Amino acid sequence: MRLNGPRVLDTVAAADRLAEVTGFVRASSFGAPQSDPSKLELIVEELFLNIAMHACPGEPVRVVCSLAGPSLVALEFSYGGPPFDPTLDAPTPDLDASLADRPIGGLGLFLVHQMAASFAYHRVGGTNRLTVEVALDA
Amino acid sequence: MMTIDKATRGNAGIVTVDGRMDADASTDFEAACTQLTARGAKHVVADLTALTYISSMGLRAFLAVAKARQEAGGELVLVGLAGFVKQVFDLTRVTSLFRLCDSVEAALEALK
Repeated sequence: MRLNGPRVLDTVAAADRLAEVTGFVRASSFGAPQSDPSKLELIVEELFLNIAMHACPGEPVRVVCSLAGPSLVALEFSYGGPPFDPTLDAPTPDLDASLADRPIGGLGLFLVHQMAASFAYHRVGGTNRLTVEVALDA
Repeated sequence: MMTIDKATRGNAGIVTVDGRMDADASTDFEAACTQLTARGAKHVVADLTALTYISSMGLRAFLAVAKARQEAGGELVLVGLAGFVKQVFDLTRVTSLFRLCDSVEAALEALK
């Protein structure tokens, strides 16, 4: 089955909704060839948990999933909370630190940057909007 | 969904994980390691051969356990790092912070 037009999920920014969001994205990207869905699922997990834990816990989130190309999935997360651009404002992790000096966190958004084909942020009215494109053939 | 098996061999605890290490499973993994070290294990050997997925929450757990072992004079050794899990470790340059072994037996030998 190939996706015809974008599909929409309205949910709540809460960690226990992650499985719902991951399942929605998996179902919505049927038809796109992907040998391993792990990259797509990691990007969904990192972005959604970041929204659920930091941006607007307990508030509504809209997820839109569409195919941007034969093997390119486009995801859009719209949510409230203060303006924050995770493509620019998140601290860059020190990847060369020793084990003792290495912080245990801060790697999620870095992984999204590394794995996504594109990653963009827009503030639209009072809403934060993240758009990310994920190539499925790698 | 991830399953965790725990065992003890000498002064090392062995944690075998199977499946996907998402946010919830990361907490379970860290708890399993803490249980083993609370019972006296100096080192932890984590067998990741059957682990297919990890996110930053999993990396966080591995780094936390490794730091705690180092502070206690021990070590967290990884066995069977491969595939997507290795890709995530490599992209974040976490791989070089660990000793990697091909088998649990090799890891136990290395820790002697």
